[in-house]
Amino acid sequence: MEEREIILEALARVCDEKGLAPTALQDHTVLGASGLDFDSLDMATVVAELDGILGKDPFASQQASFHTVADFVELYRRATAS
Amino acid sequence: MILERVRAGALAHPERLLVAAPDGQWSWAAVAAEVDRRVLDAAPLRGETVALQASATAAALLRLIELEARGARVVLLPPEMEPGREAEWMARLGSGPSQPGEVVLFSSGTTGVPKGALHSWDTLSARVHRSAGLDGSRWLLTFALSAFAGLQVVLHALDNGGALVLYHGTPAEGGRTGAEHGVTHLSATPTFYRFLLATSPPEVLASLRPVQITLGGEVADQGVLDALGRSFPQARLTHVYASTEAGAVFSVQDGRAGFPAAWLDSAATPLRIRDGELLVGRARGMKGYLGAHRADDGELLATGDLVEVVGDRVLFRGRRSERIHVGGAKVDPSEVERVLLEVPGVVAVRVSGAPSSLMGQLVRAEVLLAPDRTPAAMRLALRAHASERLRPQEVPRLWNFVDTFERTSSGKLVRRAT
Repeated sequence: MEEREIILEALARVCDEKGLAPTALQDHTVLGASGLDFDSLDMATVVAELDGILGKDPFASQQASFHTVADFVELYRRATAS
Repeated sequence: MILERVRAGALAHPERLLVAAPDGQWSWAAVAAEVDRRVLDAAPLRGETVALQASATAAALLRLIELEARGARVVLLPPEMEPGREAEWMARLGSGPSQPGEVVLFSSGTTGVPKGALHSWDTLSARVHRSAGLDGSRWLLTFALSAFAGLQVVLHALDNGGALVLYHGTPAEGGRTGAEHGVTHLSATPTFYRFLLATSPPEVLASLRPVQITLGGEVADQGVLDALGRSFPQARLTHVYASTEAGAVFSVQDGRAGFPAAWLDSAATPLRIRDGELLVGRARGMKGYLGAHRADDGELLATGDLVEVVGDRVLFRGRRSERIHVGGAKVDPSEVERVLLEVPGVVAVRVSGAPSSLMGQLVRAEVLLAPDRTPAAMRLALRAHASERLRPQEVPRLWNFVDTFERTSSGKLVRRAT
């Protein structure tokens, strides 16, 4: 599976647990308060799951910031596997 | 001193069963004759230290009685120790003269490296009671012989003309063997009982008729106490608070989790709370750690167990060392485990901290489900139940559904630091 799909699946799983419809996930979807309202625990969950699957964590070595789903996917594209 | 008890029992009831094990059955008279023969044939072992790997066999039990009679300091190695590592474990003890009647146990080491704890047959016997009601009792040995709790069971059986029933394998196998031999006394961890109740065929549970059920080694929550009360209404339920370091400390028999808060103020029980941690008197505890300084008598021992007074009760709130730090919040894994165990279909749970680059740690739950449940359905049910009962930081974020759990020889879930 492509990295992007894996990331979208991990995001969708948290949406599911939060009771949000996964179809809401678009490139321009905002992850934070003005969009899906993911809190820090939700994001930490996605990052920990992806670390387990992809073997990389863009937040491990530096301060990384993102706003939309596309930004988040881009962080992973640029991160190298640990 | 143990052999004397066996000899006395052999005179009073020679043909009565003393041990039933996978490698054979022995009467009181047969054990007394065999150990007497070995003691006469061999030189005394005063001042010597002898290691014994404590498998669940009659052979290991007879060897233990023999070594005590010959005056050796006995080092009991846990049955799960890998072959060939005996020298390494013995080296941890350092050297030094030994006194007759000394016994070295390794703390069960659910986390970290096991330490050798020095006991004597006297300290091990301090809480063993003799009573006419226990005559002819039959005890299922769910703990290893190398565990403090295992030796408590052995000494209770030997002091009361009882029988020991040993088995290999799962709690369900233990239940089956126990039913076959008509055990009257069960002593095990809450984890053992949860597995026993969840994985035994109904006809085995129905044929088990214990008069006494003792829980120890882990915190007994209200859920497991209630489940045992429903399955074995005729049995008396006792939960024991004990540790390798402190020795048996107290037992509770009212079927409620925790212990009465009134005990904290009583001069008779050396129990105190400091910074939320339970302290116990070491008067009846072990003599000290080998290779370390010996603590003064009467000193209060920090148990590492966190407690909270709720109404008239002191309730356990997990181990200090197992606290999970999620962001700024401290999470007690035992509380999370207790809540997850409330969900029907959950057999066993282990909650631990998983490293997180964003939060420091996240709560991870490993869950063993009953055979008729599927992870897909249960994940949402567990998540929903946890969200209802726990703070957001306490709700497990990472879920692993597992087929089995590693247990220590004393029947506790293995807890691994992450």
